[in-house]
This record gives sequence, C-alpha cells and structure tokens, in this order.
Amino acid sequence: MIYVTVSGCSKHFLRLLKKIDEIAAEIEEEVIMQTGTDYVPKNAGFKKYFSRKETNQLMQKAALIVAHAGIGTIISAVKLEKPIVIVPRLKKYGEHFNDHQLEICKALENQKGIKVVYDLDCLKEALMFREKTNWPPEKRQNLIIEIRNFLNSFS
Amino acid sequence: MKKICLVSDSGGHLEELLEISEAFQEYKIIYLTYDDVFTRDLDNAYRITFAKNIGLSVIFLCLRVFWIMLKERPDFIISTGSYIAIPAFYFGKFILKAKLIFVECSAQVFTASRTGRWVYPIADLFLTQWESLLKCYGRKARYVGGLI
Repeated sequence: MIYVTVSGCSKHFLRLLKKIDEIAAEIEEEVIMQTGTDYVPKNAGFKKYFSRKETNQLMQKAALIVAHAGIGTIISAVKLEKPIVIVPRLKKYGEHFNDHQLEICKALENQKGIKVVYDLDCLKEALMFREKTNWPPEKRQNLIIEIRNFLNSFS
Repeated sequence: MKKICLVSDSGGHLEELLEISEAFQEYKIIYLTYDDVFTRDLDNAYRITFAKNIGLSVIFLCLRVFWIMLKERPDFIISTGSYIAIPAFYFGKFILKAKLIFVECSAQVFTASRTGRWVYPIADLFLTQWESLLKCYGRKARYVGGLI
C-alpha cells in the first residue's frame, strides 16, 4: 500500500493529488490518500483527514509514503524507517504562502530513504522507491540532551 | 514539580515538540496551541481558535495567551515556532521571569523563521537544527543536532 498525505495546510495540493490519482489507475498497488480538501479521487481510497492514530496505522502498513515536504510527516516516516517520496508545495501554484518547502528538500536530497521529486512527470517512477532510511541517532539525541541539560541546570 | 509550557502551531511544529518531549519527562507539561483536527487528542492543552483575518484577532490572541500564562505561571516556555510563541515568550520573560527555549523548526535550513527572529533577543537557549542556519543569527544561537 502507498500512503499519500498532504497534511493540514490551509492551502490545497491538488497538483499532487490529481497526479497520484492518475497513476493509481495504472499501477497494481493500493493507494490511500489524505486529501485535506474536498477533492474526490477516482482510483484511490481517501479521507479528508485521518486522526493521529489512524495516520500512524496507515504509515506502519505502507510500503511507501508520499507526502508534501512537511516536517511532521518526514519525521514520522524516519521514525518508522519507511521510505518516503517528498514533493514540495510551490507558491506559484497557490500551494503555500512561500517556497520554504524547497529548503528542506534541498537539505534532504542526498539522504538515504528519501526521494525528492520536483517534477511530477517523474512521480510514477519514484513510486517504485523502496530504499530504507539510515538515520544516525546521535543528531536527535544531542538535541534532546542539550535541552535536558539546560532544564536541569535550574533545578 | 516544575512546569513547562509548550507553545506551537499544530502540524509540523507540534510534531517536533512531541519528539523532543523525551527531554522533559520529569516536568509537568501544558500545551498552548491552535484548535484543529491534529490537536484535539492532546491532554493538558489550551487550544486557541484563530481566525486568519488578522487585525483584531491578533489582539484577542495576545490577550488569551497572556491570560493563560498568568493562570499557569510556567517555569519554562519551549517552542519550535509559529506566531503564537511571540506573545507567550515576551509575557513569560518579562512578567513571569520564565526561562525560554526556542528550537528553530527543521524546515528552516538556510533562512531564519520570522518567529525565530522575534524571540532570538530574549531566548535563554536558542538552538537551530541545521548548522547552515547559524549564519542568520548571532553568537547565542547554537547547533548541536536535529530531529532529521
């Protein structure tokens, strides 16, 4: 199963949803989408929003996650060690207030387990992506230790 | 038990706060966030409804935040971003004498967030999640690691 999510941004991301729906008709694998809008896909299961629990279950079940380049979803995918394809929302299509999603895409371009897709014509091929992530745990631990030490210095 | 107020937008910013909550398990936690489908299942949370048509609603937002801060009197305020942190940080700093921790969201790789720039001068601990972001801030900002 491929799980597609565009999260809760107040702007739409129809460009991605429509393209995925188009591809879903051509592939065997089941596709489930969180649409965030009233868009009705023809070839995929969908819901406007899934609860935190449902989202977690879908992500665990998924062989691949496809998402906008939002931090919440990327972190969840990394934690579950799921391959993820990210597509940045772009201002010129009215998908966000600015182009800040390009920043995180650039930062993650060479990261194992993540595939950045800038051109939707390459999306179908990207859906074959199944590379596992290999995140170094130190980066995360160091941040947490730093905050804990700061807090504890006042007790 | 010391009290921490976690302030953020819903979505990615909140997700990051939940991720770093490993750092403060032995503290009492309250959340201050916006009301939406992603925040409804949080315990100990103040959820503010925020109309996007700015103007008056900004004043109401600030008043709501001040009132909550006054009622809760947290010892620490921690945020990963979004505007709601600005009134919380300033009120917390100057009225409650709380200690402030700001962690730039990992989406900020090369450019500083607006909230980050607002709270940088008063933050007691200011961390970025990418080394490349340090050039946007002064010497107080530090990079030790990040969630992704």
